[in-house]
Amino acid sequence: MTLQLPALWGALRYEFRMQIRRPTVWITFALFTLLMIALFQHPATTFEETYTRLLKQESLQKVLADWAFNINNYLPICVGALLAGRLPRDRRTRVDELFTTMPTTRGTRLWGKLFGAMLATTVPMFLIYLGGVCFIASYAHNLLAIPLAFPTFIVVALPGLIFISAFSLACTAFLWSPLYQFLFICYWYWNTLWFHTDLVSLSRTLLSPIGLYTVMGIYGLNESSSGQHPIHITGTPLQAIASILLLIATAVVAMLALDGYLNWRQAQQ
Amino acid sequence: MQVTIRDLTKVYRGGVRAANGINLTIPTGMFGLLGPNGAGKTTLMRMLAGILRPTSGSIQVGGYDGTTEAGRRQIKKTLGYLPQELGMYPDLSAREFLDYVGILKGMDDRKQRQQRVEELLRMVALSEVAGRKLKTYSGGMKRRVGIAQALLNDPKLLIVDEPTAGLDPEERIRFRNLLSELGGDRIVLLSTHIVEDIAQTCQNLAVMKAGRVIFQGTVTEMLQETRGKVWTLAVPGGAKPEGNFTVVSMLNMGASVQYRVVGEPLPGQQATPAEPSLEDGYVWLMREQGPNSAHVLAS
Ligand SMILES: Nc1ncnc2c1ncn2[C@@H]1O[C@H](COP(=O)(O)OP(=O)(O)OP(=O)(O)O)[C@@H](O)[C@H]1O
Ligand SMILES: [Mg+2]
Repeated sequence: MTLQLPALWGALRYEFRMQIRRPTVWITFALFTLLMIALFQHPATTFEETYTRLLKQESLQKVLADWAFNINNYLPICVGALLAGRLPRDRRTRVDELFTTMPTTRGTRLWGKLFGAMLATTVPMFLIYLGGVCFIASYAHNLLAIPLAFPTFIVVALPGLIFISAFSLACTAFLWSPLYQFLFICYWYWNTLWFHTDLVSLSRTLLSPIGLYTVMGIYGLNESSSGQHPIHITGTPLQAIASILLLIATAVVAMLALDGYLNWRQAQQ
Repeated sequence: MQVTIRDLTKVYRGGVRAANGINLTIPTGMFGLLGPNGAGKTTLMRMLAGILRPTSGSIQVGGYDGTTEAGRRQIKKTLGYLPQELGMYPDLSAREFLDYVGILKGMDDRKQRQQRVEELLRMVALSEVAGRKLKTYSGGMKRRVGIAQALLNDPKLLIVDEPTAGLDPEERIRFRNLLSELGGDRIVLLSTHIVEDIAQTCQNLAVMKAGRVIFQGTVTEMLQETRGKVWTLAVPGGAKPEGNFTVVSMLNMGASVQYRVVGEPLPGQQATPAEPSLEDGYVWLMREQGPNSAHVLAS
């Protein structure tokens, strides 16, 4: 797979542009967020109560990590579902065949698609996160929350988002996208049950896309700081870094496999 | 530059032999590719464009070998391809789509790329609507975007697969003229069912049928081959004449019907020789090659 950087950047820009213009992206996030708000309107667990209480016990950074972790438990479901279909679309609109006749390699286009579409889909998720951060900043009377929010999101959420985005592209090369979306939602539901330690869950391994090891290992979240579910597992900073690297490496492998598979399939025609 | 194709064969999965030992030499200029549905024109063009891998045989474009990965990479740099069914992103504007294609064609200088895009938009008369989304375009407008994207990198080899299908007469003529202008210093390979398009624009042509090239030469040579095979028959009462020929047209003259036929009329029929057209030549070639056996199964 040879990468051509200017073309990679160009593909990224156009994939970003096309995805962020889709009304479906914004509507999906809006509906999902309303659903989440409706589900969590239990008096004891309102956002304000949870986070004012947390702010009294924990540092601002820890509280932000907790919020990023909470977001990352649910919203990636939208990211994964909205990225499915981006690859089949190229075949459906026949641009894939046209672009094959151009000097830019398919691998370059695929990486551009991954990052462009993923970043565009992450924008609504990030805005929702930022909305919460603003509330936290106001409860804490500390504007520092805003600049701190960016690195926290990148560290907690981004590795998992890259991981699921790569799989959403790769799997739809051979799976019908609605079927993939269904399987992905089932998988994510299972992911969010990570606190049931009696269940086997990928989310309690280093390959946790919700960032469990990252929040424990880097930000020191633990039983006392978790609002809803006590965490019975612990993580070291080394495990956190290993988890991040493992997620990204797995995504790279999935993308390389996708490129290889698509080239093989083209040669088979 | 010259394209040389030797013994090119393509067997699709499932056993359809869509190209069956094709030999062709394509010089600079406009080159027409004629043939009925399923003759293998698109298959040949997709192999030239590097989309399909040939089952066997060789392709040379300029000095490059079209059957190797390295050769294909070089060919792609000088290639413009307008597919039969053009792919585009419906929610991009023509300007954006062309810009994206320019990026994928390796035109890294942003200023130059944008200039080239505007130049081509003017050339295909789309400047006014270039900001509109492609899904709002008519078939003819999309085709013009198609030719613009093919021309972005000023290709030395331009492959256009049935560019005039579905266009109204005026648009078709405009398109034809545009292609003729382009044929000066590059190879323009044009496939079509419309014999007239080729008669008007191409010096050289090839006729394909059932995966084979059954004629290659100049338009004049094709007309010469058909000389003496085209007749007009005046049949009183209009009963359909019988004989070893194909009726290409009939004209009702009141008391009699005048038939134009390609083939060999019977001695008793009062046939007058007629000057062949390229269409007659095409009909003659199709007759000579027997029934249209498009699907030759690989054994
Ligand atoms: N992807 C494919 N898989 C299997 N068979 C195919 C495929 N594409 C084309 N064919 C077959 O190959 C033969 C040649 O098709 P091709 O599209 O090259 O013809 P064509 O000359 O372009 O026809 P048309 O004038 O209708 O466009 C046909 O019999 C067609 O059914
Ligand atoms: Mg065709």
